[in-house]
Amino acid sequence: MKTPREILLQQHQAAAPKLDALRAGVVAGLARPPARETVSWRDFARSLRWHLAGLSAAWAAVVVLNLDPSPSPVAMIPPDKMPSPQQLWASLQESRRLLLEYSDVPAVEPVQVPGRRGALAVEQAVV
Amino acid sequence: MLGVDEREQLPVQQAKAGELEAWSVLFRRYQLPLYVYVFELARDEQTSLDIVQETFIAAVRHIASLRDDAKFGGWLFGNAHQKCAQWWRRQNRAAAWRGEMAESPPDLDAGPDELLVRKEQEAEFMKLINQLPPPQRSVLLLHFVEDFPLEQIAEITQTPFGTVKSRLHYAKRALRELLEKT
Repeated sequence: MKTPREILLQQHQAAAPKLDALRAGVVAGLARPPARETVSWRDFARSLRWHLAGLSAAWAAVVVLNLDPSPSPVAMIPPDKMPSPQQLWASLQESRRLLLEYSDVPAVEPVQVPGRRGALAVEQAVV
Repeated sequence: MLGVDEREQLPVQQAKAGELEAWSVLFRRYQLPLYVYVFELARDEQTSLDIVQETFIAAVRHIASLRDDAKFGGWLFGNAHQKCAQWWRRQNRAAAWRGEMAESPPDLDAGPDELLVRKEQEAEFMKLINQLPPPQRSVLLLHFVEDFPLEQIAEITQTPFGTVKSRLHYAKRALRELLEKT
């Protein structure tokens, strides 16, 4: 004759080894100090691999777009419509004048370039 | 009537202080009764092992909330009972878990040791336990396995005292009828 408790415990005695292992695992977990988060550079880089791959793809796309072989706007101007050197010189002089005007620098008097020796001699002779 | 754990000297205070050996002693003491209780409710080995493990881990985490060290066993079974209830809810069997007895509770007569089962009745006994509705089965198991007093069973199962009394009465009556028949 057995008590209900004895019967119940006996029925499940086969689970004892698994329960021992389970108990040992839980107690071992208590003994273990809480793991510190030490992340190496390699792990850190690996954790960012998808971000890095995305950024690399974006930069690659930017580079590819910049290598587009379409001609530049300057190169598209036909040679016969290019401004002459005189026009370029006049444009440059005008830009310089405007720059000096806006920067309040007193305009420099144009330098009197003496003419030829012959022309000077004629003026003196008249005086 | 005292529960089994109230008659024992268990190192609950040392466990509260974080002594590993104390935890090992406590777990060794309760691992099989707790497993029996959980298995007879869940009827699945892996689920039962998982619930026992979760109960142990929860015990370590929440030991500070245990006010009366003498009630460690009841507190542990209470945690396991809640996890069983959650498991039953996940299985969509909540209605069976909540099943109630309609009749008024009669007086109880005997303790768990009064019932003795002959060897040839053991299989029938286990079969009957399994046939009981979960609420009755739960109360009967707590009564048989750990000899918890009714008040503590009511605390563990979070059930009114009268309901616990009624469930235990009908479960024992069914068991007695079986033992008289065989």
